[in-house]
Amino acid sequence: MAAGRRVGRPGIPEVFALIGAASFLAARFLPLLAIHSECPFRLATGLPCATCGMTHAFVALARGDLAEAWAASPLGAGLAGGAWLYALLDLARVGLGLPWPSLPQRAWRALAVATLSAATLNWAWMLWRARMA
Amino acid sequence: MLARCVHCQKTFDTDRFGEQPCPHCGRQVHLADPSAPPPAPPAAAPPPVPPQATQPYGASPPGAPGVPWAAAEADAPFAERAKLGWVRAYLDTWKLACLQPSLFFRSVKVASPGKAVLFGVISMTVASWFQTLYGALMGAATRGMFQEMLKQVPQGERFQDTWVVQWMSGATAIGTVAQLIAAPFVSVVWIFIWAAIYQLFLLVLGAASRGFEATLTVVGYASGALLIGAAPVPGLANLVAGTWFIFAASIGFREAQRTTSAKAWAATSLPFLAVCLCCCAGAWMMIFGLSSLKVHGG
Repeated sequence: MAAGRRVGRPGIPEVFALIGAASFLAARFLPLLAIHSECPFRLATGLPCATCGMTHAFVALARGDLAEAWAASPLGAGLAGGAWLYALLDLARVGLGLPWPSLPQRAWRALAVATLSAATLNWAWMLWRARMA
Repeated sequence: MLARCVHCQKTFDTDRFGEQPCPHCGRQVHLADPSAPPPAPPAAAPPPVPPQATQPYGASPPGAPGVPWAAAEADAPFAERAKLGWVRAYLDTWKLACLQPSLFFRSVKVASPGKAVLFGVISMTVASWFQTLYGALMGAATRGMFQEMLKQVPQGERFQDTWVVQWMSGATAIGTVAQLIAAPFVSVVWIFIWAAIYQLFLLVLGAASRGFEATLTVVGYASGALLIGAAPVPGLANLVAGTWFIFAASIGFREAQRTTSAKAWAATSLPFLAVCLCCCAGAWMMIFGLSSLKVHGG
């Protein structure tokens, strides 16, 4: 994710924006929850895995139900919202001909640490909630 | 002196260093002059010239005295598809990425990861198509086997008639066609998402000095290993392919990101431990079920 680059040809940021947009379309219009899927980790241990609830969170948020999305997985809700917001912002950036924002390596690292911390906290919270239930 | 072409791996005799065409494949290779770059302190007799591998993929190993990461970067053979032809360019690159990952990823250009992504998408798509075909052919036979196996697994009855059995035993005709069409798109998403996950861990470990492009290049070319999944041994082929991918990617991160082995392996392993915990649980239950079948059957 190099800083301050070209605005010409679509590149890596635009591919991620497309993936974000596609995830919204899939969550909104495909019957994802109708596909009966059980998490093997949950079946084996009775506890949710780190990514449990993600699909429900994406689908709920795509239908505008923030509370349900948050209940399914706070991280999933945040990831879905972040991905779709990013897709919109990148579309606007490309439309306006603006360059990819310049971020120093330290900022990327801080962002990565924050993301992994959030994922860890999310799993801890889901495990705690499953234990209390 | 004797030189080896990095593209076709054949040897040839030459009497000079520098750029020159390989007499076997005709592609340009660069023979580094070992006595040229750093002038030797005491100008005594020039050292004898050993047989040299050509640059870039035959460059000095990382940490070699005087020339750490000194290799000139070059495109992978896959980037020369127009000249070599698709099949040969693909096979040459596959051999380098999967059989010589250390040499390959040390010197491959990371500035244009699009070629690496295309290489990975082709590998994954072909493997996926074969797996879909096997699923369609073997569906009826494997369905019974998996249902029997699941009876032996703790809580396995809860898997009966779920997507696990349906997926592992092959899909319906519509499902098969959908899988074939979706394969390249799923491959693109898979490569980008996993590259992002690996980049996350590399950043946290302070091992992403050459940026996301390098990570994406490694994931793309290392995904060539997933082609092994096309072998007609469903399950085992995927296991071997996945393991090979992890090895190639780990070595690739070490070389392309100019980091240590420990950080590269940690960055590759941690996501699998964290994200694929449920897959591990599923695999464990399958293995447990298979061993139970053997005991009961024997």
